[in-house]
Amino acid sequence: MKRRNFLKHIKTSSIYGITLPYFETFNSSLKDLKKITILHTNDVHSHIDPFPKNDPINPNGGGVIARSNLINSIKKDNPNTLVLDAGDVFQGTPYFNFFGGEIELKLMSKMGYNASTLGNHEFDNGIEKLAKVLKNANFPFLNANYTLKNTPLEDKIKSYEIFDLNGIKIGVFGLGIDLEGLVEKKLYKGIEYIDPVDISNDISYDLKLNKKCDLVICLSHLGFSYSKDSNLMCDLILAKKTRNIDLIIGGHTHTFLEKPVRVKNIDNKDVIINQVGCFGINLGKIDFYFSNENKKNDSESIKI
Amino acid sequence: MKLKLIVLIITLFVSSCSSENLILTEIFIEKNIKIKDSVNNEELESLIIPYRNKIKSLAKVIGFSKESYSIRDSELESTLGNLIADVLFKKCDIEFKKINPIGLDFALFNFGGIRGTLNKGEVTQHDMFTIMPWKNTATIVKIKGKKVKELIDYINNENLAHPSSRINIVFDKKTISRIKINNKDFDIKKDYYVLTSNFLQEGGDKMVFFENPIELYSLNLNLRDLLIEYIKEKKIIEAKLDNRIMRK
Repeated sequence: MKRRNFLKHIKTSSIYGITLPYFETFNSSLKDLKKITILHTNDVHSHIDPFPKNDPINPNGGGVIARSNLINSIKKDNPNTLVLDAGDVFQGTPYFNFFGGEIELKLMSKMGYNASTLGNHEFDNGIEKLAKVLKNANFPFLNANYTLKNTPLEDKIKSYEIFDLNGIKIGVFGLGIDLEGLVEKKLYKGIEYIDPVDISNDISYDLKLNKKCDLVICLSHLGFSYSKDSNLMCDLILAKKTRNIDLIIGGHTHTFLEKPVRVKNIDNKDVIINQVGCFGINLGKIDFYFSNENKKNDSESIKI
Repeated sequence: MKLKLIVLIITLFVSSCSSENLILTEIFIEKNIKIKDSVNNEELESLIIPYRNKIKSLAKVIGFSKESYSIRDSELESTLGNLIADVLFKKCDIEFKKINPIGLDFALFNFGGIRGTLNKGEVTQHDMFTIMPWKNTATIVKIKGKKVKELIDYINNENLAHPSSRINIVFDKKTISRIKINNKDFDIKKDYYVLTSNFLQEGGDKMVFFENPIELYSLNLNLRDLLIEYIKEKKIIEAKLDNRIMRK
């Protein structure tokens, strides 16, 4: 409706000397104005320095400097960019053994991360130390399915965060894996894991319908899928059993997806799932375009 | 002037409708991007340097590896897993015999506990932290033969190269066709002394057969420290596959 008014308005305006080509240029720049870029990592595991040059698989791969430069160059291209992480920031190099996660979080803050979620290895030094080291992050760690009441993390973890980028509202929430068997019990005392399906549906509904988010993103440390136990909760199952989630950024299973995958949710709508392996070797990038057009273009473009 | 007015009208219109009726029109998906080969970034470097300097001593070369060894170079065993489990078995067997002269029967660790590859050439302590970052310590359990059978079933189902030493298993497809422990035939009626880590003993990685053992010994030796000690002693590191656990 508004679109039609707009066209009418433009046509009327032409008597003032505005020509149609002007409108076309404007229309395409309008499209650019609504581009949101999502960049993401997972399971970086304290890999601050790049892999050594004699590494057989990733010589000179990864490293925060290279990651930061890549993020900056993409942000230069589109300032409306959100940088996200799906957990297991910690544990994997001496940087964690000696400094307990401080430097990882300082660097992520400098690199412009907007949010992360709690991976199982975030608990490797116990809840108390985790709660303390989080002060080094200027971005939130999000989790919606751990009971954190009466633990040192109680006031430090939010279940979701809403970002406003150029008028586009993006709701981001976090999910963690069942810590039993992954972390020594004494290190996560007081935390219970809650099945993520109902929680995700409640939060996504709230984000999309009440909070009017244009995009809902789940940061998940559940794992992409488990071939040995196909019923074990994972991103593929989560996507199929929920509604109102547009993108799941996954972690935990160190799955090197070549590119994001598209699955159908409970309403037969598309959900994108992506995971970029581990150790800061790869970066995920997905561009979402928003417009005021009333007609949704169903043939979503895939640029390879 | 007129032009300016119209631009203003258009701008007002656009901003009035950007707060509502936004529709996700297109999604551009691309291949995940390789992060590699950076130019310098002084701001980040200056943040890292003080930390890097404090762990500089770890960059000292402590030995040499003949080849690159990985946890993923075979099916139910691996060069790196064999090396680690054998070293830990030998070192801990010596320590354990001081407490219990019977000694160890075999060792089992977990695939997920090995996080990196041992690259050909110079080996540093830093490399060993990357391979085994954990605080885990050597733990010995005495368990019944019945539990050892559960352990073998676990390996059969997991189908992963969990590092092991002194236990030889041949699976014929999904059935167990031969088990040898420390060169002797497996006897389900016997009890066994198994070396593992405190993490796995507490049921980590669902190794529940280590929980509630008949006897429990904590050696209070960090597993990575034992490996570092071995590399310093041995200097030249070599590892092999030997079909210790295999499937026909």
